[in-house]
Amino acid sequence: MRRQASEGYVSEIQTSGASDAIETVVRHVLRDILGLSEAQVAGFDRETELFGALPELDSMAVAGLLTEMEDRLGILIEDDEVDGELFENFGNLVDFARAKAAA
Amino acid sequence: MIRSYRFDGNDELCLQHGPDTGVRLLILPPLFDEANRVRHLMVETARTLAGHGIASLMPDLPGCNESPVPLDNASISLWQAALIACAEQLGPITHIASIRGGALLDGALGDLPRWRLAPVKGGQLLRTMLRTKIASDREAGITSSSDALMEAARTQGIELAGNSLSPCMIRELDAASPGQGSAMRLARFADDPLEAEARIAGAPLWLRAEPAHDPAMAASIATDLAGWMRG
Repeated sequence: MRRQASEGYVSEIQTSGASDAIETVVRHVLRDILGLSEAQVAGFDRETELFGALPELDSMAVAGLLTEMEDRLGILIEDDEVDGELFENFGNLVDFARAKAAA
Repeated sequence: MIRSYRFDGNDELCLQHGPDTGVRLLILPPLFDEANRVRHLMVETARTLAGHGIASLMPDLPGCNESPVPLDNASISLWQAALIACAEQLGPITHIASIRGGALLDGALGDLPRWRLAPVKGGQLLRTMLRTKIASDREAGITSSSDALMEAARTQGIELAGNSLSPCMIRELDAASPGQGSAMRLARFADDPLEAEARIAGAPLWLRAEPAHDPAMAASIATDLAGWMRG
């Protein structure tokens, strides 16, 4: 499902400026976990690599990120929905959050 | 000044700042790993409050910081009992301020005026710790689930993210949520769209992957607390 979404359609995340509420929440969670500035996270686009590219994003940080996303988006993320692909890039994470929030 | 209070046959340390008279604040930091990430912020807040002429106590909870007791003896109810002992010996306490999981303990002294920043349910803290366990299990080639881990933890206890948690702690933490009170002041960050009585300039440092400090945030918290406590 998620794979289709990320490959198949053009998401709203095109440039750093345009964003919807869910994308903004995901951006802000990353800002708060990684201690980045507003300008730095505003520069994230679909292809911005996360896990592996950001050394601060270890398994502890990922755990905090998931719980924080649940809290701020009012969603529930199951254990088996979490895999490496989810954190591959910013686009995947936002697509996942969107799909969960819409469900 | 470093004081101590007697609890359960041990001396537990307690940071005391400010004058000996007047209103006195009990400061309850977040729980577990989150406490480490905001230690600097909490101490600086207490120091800044002292500069405003306001006294505060920030006790070590049994099993945390310098406590001689292992964490696996601790539980939410034990921590609340320790706070009662601390208040009796080093108080009286007139107000309580907490961040995150600290709010799970702030009813220990009855219906005192309480200030909270980002209060959180115990289940949410547990969930994050379970996730780190699942992730490390996965790296070790073990497939685990939150449900299975919790089922075992309720009877045998569990070690999560370096914290040894007893069955009692697991059950109490899972059920714990910030209690109600007649005089509450909820604080949120300036950019948080939700309603709040107080606005704090800063960021949720307890989430940071790399611990950081924010002196402006400590000042912002202290200013709001001082105004609130003076009524």
